[in-house]
Amino acid sequence: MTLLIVMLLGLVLLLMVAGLYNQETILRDWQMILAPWGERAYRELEKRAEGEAHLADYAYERARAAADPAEAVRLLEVGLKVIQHSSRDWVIVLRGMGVLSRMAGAIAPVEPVRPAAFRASHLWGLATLARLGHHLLVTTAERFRLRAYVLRGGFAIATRLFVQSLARTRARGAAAEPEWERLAAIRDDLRVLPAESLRTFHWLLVSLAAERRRTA
Amino acid sequence: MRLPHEVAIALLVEAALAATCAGLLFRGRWRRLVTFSVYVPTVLTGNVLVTWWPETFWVYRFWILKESVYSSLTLCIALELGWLTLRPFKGAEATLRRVTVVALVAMAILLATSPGRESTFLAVAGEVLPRVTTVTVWLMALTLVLAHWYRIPWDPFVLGVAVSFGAYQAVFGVLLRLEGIYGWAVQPYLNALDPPAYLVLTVWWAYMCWRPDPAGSSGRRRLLQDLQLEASR
Repeated sequence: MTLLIVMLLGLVLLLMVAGLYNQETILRDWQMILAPWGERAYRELEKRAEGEAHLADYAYERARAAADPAEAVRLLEVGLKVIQHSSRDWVIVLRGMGVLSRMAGAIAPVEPVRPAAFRASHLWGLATLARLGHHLLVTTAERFRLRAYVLRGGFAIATRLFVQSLARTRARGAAAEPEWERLAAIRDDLRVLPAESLRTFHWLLVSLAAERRRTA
Repeated sequence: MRLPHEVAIALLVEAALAATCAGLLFRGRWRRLVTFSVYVPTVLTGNVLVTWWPETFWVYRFWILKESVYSSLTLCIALELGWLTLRPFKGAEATLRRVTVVALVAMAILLATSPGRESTFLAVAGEVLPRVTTVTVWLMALTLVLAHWYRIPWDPFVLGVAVSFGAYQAVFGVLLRLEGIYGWAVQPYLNALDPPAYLVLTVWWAYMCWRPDPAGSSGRRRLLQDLQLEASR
């Protein structure tokens, strides 16, 4: 009976993956890899990261300067919207980097994310675990994907911490002061995460450029 | 004695296989999957022998011989599918090699541990062949998974063979395994279900061999040329 189940599972897997297959998308990804698009994309990402960081900083500074705590919370909520939007975009970009890394023949050696770069303990813990995993993995491609995965997780954690901090402030009532120390730490970490993501993208571009040279 | 409808289905299968052979030759698609191009005429020959000279070839001994040959060729098709599709891509090829070794070791263990039966036919049909078929189906499925993971484009003809043949092999394997579990009681169901399923499969193959390449199917070839890997294909 076990053999029967194993065989049926094989059939389900076969049909499922065949259903997911999309030749057009795959060829489009390859065209992107083989075209010299990297530098432009890097500059665009860099500019966008700067713009979003500036917006979030502005909302934070205004909130800090607000005399009325309720107004401060409202401004922090505006900042949160910017953070949520930009985190979602970075997660998509990092997922795309993971996919592209599978298509490169080889990936340039990458460094693990530094735990000391983070102030929030959750992110520090994640980076420490990732550093350990980095040394356990064998290939640079696996290390690259781990790095991208950790950064994706980092964005999710930082956003959640921000949301929790705001929720606690709201729960304490309209007159309560926001948790400025904690929020400042998250804000710093949310500057580190895009910078580290950009470095990851840079490694990917170096690897893809090597791929182009190899095939030229 | 074979029933008239069984003979009719066998004749239709032979016609479809002959059309597939012709399509492979005239459309030049035999080069795209060589083991498949060996498998089709082999099955056609086996079927013709059974249909036209039943008194000699419609016997268990010949069934065991031909099914063993077909299973071996099917396993070769699964191996060639992976090799052909993933080999030009360095990262995928290394993983495929590991997957293939694991699959073949698993098959060796499965075959070594297959229990003996009171009749040779039941031992081969119900125990040995389902084990080989399981490994073949998993090899095909894992090749698809690897191609999906590494974003590798397929030749549409090869993909069509992989999916249709993999699905049929699973159905055939399940029927054989049921015979292994429940014995001769399953034989009428096997006789009733397998020939129509195989007819559908062969008609699909004939269609695939003759139809023009779908639009955009040259994408893989162009990509391999871009990567300058065409020579190694």
